[in-house]
Amino acid sequence: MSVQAATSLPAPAARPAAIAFGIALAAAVVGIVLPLLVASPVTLSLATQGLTNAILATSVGFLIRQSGFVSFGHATFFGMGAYVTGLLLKHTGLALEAILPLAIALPAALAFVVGLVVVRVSGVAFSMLTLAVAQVFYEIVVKWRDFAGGDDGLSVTLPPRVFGLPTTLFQEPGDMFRIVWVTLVVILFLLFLLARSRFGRLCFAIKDNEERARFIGYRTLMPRALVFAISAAIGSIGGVLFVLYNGFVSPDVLHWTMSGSALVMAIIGGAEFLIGPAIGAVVFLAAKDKLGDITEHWQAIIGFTLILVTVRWPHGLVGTIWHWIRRRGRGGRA
Amino acid sequence: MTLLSFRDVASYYGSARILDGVSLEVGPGERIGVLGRNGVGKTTVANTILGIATMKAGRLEIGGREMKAPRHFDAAHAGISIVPQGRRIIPVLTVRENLQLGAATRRPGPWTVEAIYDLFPILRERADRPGTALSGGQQQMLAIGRALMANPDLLVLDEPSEGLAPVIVDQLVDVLNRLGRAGTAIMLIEQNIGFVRDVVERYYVLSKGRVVDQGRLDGVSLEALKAHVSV
Repeated sequence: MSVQAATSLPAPAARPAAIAFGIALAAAVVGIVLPLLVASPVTLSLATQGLTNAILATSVGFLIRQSGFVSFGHATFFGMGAYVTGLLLKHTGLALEAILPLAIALPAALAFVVGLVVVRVSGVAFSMLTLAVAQVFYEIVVKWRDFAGGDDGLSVTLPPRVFGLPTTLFQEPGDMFRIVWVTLVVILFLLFLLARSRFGRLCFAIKDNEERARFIGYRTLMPRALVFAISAAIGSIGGVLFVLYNGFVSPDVLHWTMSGSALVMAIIGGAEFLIGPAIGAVVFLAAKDKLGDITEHWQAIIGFTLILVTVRWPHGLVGTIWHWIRRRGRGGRA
Repeated sequence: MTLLSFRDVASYYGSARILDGVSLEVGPGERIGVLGRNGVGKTTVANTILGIATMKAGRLEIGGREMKAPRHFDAAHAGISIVPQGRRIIPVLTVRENLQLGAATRRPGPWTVEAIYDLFPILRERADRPGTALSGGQQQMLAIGRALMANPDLLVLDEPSEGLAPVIVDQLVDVLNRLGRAGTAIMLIEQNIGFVRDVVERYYVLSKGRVVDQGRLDGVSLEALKAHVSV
């Protein structure tokens, strides 16, 4: 038997993948039906915005989960997804069908190149480098008024149709909710498969003990840069959906506070769990909405919640619930 | 061609010199022991091969190629697998995944996950458990199995008997002898003289970073060897 054959994924891996596919399918159906049960377009619109943020939080959480890197600058890729879409629509004659993959591929390619440098360091140094890169892009967009609209932002006019479908779908809250929801579900399912692949396991090994992985014979730079690029691609998908829905993008989406919010969402939800950051995004935005009605100092409450979660529930909401269920399960058997 | 050759090698951690002109060789299919008390530089021999300790003088050849500053992954690609002290199992991966991880170099050879399971049947039974859920002896088997997955020409084991029950050490002796008979060269870095005697053919004794004794084990008394490692 060849080495390659021996290291291919074993048969038992198929069952969790099939279960995950079933769950993803059910979740997609729920998302498609849900707008029928919600009468308020405002609620649907807020939920849609929340889901685009959930995609950004998922990209940040994926990076933490798969590589241990904490990015303080992931809004760069979200913003790039939005700006590349808007700028190419405005300044080139490219069809939206060509622009959409470019708006994901360009941030991913940039992240890969940047990643080859920044993933050589870890901890605070990595976080600070990502923050620095993000601020560079923020300043470029703010200062480049003629091309990118500067502080005033950029209005984006969509063509009437894309892939044979009317683009009005993107700006109708119910339809866009379905599109963003299903996109998020597909991303989560693909990340589940990636985590179970040989590449995903190698990344876990590198995260756990990079030196050990190198002793075994792996060159570890490329896998870490690839994880950074994949997380950037996910973030950019959020940005693309954001600009398709809003028809407008401003430098706010590139600001470090956007990166900070995504990180808070990931931590509150539980970055070590695939679905944690998305749940964190929903909780964060719901809390922001409700608390904003009560006090203008809602950020202080979010900050206090973050401290509480970090100290008391370091695995985040999803992790805490997961461990609670497991403890109860063990107690039940005993 | 030698698989591993140290010639007057001096290795450092920072400015601290640990190996001071060490010369040793391992040829194809040979079984050698590196003996010595704690702190004499035995592990630094492995760490020099891995590029953890910095070689500042002498000549190091790995797989017949001179390496002035080996990178962490060079030894594995040159056919030398190292089972480190403390085993270093990846805790988030299962037994099977830990084994699969070992095939990094994709060198051709007889070792597959199934072949490892045949060598250590207990690993087949524990295949889907986390690597760190195993006992110390089972973790050592997993570490050896993971190293074998690279189909190495030379297997370097750093203190593999440390913390293991005598019955498990006997099993390791049996396994290492089977590997040796199958043609895999073995370098055993150890203090357990009884274990070394049961596996190796030649030995080197280190003291204060130098080779102070070497030779074939035939005719050397257990007491004479123990004198090198007892305090």
